[in-house]
Amino acid sequence: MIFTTTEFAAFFAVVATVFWALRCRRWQNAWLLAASYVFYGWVHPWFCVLLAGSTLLDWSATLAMTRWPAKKNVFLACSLTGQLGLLAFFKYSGFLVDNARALGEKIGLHLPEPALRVVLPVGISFYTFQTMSYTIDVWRGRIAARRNLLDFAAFVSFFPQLVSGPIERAGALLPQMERPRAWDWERFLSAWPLLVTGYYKKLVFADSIAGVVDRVFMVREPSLALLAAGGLAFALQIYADFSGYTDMARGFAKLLGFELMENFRTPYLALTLADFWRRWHISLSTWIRDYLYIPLGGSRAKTALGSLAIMLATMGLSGLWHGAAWNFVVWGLAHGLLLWVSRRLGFDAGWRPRAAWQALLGWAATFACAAGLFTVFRAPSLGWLAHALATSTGRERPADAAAAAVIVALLAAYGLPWAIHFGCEKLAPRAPWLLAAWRWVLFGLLLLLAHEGGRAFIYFQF
Amino acid sequence: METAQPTSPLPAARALRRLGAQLLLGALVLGGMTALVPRRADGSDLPRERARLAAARPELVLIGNSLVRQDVDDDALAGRLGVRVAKLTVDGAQSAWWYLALKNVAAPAEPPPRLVAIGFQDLALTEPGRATAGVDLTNVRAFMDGGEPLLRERALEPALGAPLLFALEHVRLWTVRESARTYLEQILRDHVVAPLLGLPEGGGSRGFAAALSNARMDRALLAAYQTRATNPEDDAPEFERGVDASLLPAMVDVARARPLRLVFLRMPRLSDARGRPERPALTRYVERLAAWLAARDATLIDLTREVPLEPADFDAGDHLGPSGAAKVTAHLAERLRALLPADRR
Repeated sequence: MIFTTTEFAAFFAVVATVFWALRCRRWQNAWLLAASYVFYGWVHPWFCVLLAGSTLLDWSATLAMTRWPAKKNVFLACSLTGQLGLLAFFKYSGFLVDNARALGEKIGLHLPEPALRVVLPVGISFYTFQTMSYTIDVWRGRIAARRNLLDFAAFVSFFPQLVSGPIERAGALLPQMERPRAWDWERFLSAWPLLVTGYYKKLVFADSIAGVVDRVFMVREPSLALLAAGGLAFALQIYADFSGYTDMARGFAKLLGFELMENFRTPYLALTLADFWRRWHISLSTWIRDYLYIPLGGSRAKTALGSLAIMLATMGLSGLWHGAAWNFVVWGLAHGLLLWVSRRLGFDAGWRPRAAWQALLGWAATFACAAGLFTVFRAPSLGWLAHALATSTGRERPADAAAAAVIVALLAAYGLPWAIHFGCEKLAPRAPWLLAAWRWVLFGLLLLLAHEGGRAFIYFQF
Repeated sequence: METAQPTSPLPAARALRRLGAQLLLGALVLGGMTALVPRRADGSDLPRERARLAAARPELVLIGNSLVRQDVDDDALAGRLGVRVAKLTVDGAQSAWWYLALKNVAAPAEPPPRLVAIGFQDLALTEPGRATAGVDLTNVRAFMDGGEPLLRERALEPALGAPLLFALEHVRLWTVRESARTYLEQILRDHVVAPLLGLPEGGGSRGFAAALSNARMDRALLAAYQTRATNPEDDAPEFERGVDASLLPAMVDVARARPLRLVFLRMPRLSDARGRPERPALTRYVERLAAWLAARDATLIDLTREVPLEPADFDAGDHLGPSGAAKVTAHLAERLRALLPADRR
């Protein structure tokens, strides 16, 4: 089920009404669990089997760790093998088989076409990472294993954030499942801004740009101007799409009495690449930091080469998390390399410019890197991108220049109300009614310009 | 048993005052925005299209979507048949729009056309709810003449549901939604970008269309994209189950009442040219459709079976390139020659 459809609106109205009508927390959690499974299995009911399997695996593994502490490493290994195996099979088996076949062709070995292609269950990367963080935290002794399966299952499957995050930590969301909750008007009123901005970002900005981006990334030999405009458009589209989803998820969670973490903090205003990663997909980047980068040695590496290797491994795997294709791996590795270089040059997340021109330069360089690398991310294949780059220069194409200018104009037109909203938020302490009024303008623009719900969120495929 | 505590950080009265203030502000803002939005009347495309047909006085009218626009060369067809030919097409249109194009534009034309041909694919003729949302609904409404109760009952309400249809028709900000976006983007292309780049009038739109035209696309990527976008049916229901709830009987009635000869063209598909076997259920469906039409003095021309096409004849997805269009047009001319009634004019 997708947040932008009328069927979801009806579903949520029923779920929220019954949820608040139930006075007992356990019944509320049971209802939430049932609703989450209906939400997840709406199109493919068999997806629920995977979700239930993943839940049961980590619930039982963590209880076993508590029961037999001496063997907790074994139970951790079982859990990780199960979760990563699930991910590997559903997400990466096709990729591995295709690469093995391609390699075989190169050495004259003809491997047969696989008999069946595995369907990627939506959201699997998100909930497996969420449950893995719980298991690792129990193993580390940071949180206690939960005996109550209902609360735990409701935490894993919580539908507002199930399919595209934020990837919540057990320490933040589980206690919310476990304590009584009451209808809170303040929270209800604070959900409205998130929902309006989230829907605007998705249905007006991202979906208006999506069709153009799709076409740019199918052109056989785009000029550099067209490719750059397409890359810029995609960088903004994916931000609007994903942060819009997060806003909606947080808004719907608030309406049910839950607080979800912030996942984006104006990442395109970052002054360094390290700062960008502190602001972009925060729940994933902190997950990668806590469960991959730091255990691998992190910033404690003794040699420059060692720190480079750790950075490349971390960011390469982060890229692979996004999808089973080489362009995601290259995207991650390129980020890793640039992060390492920029840190060596002293441009860490805490870097503060001494003058305005330094800030401007830092912002421009960071934005160019982030947006440029999103071109690699979006390219249909590395071969397509290499060919496009090789043929993009040295040819005058007035039509491409016009199309590139139109794309930039579209971004400006659909982005302007969003930018004004951002400005109003900054002015809100002095002029709260200005912000409130502008939200209604966004709502009006939503009625006027929104695409009908149908286009899935980009991060559903990850 | 743990129970939810009915405590609230904000007293209900204060919260309701805040809510009321928000709603009042919303009413003011949305009211102001609504006042700025021009109303686009239903049937707004009818005068123009009727005038076009009145001027062209076609003897043969082709109705359809981008497939008919691209797959049939109307000038060549007119030359081969020696009759005046006009096309009524809108990209993405399906049976709701075809029905209106026949009933409100082609059939009432004076003098009436001798033959009207409607191009379709797969199950479109018995699925009246297809392409009735978003920009497609805007196109449908632009061809409506009055309340169109049959269209509402068979196409719009089943597809959209009564509440959404009500909102689409009565919330003014919503009623112009697709056309507002189209208009905004056209202004950007032709009145912002074109002057900035020193392009002639309309140069922004032409440049944009040329840069991102199908001709410049990677064939494999485009075909995969279009396959994803069109989401072909996995199951073809029996013809009889859908026909009575569709607009097809009404189309036949319109043609009989005028009278004019009605022909349905099953447009070519790339999968057939590639030799992919047709699903048996679809084969049965097409056979029953042909028999049903024949019993009502209408004809089915199955271009996807009758015209030998190669994959190279296709331009993008199911749309034909020049070689394919030439083959289809030549075949269609032969088939229509036998079906064109004598000129009564």
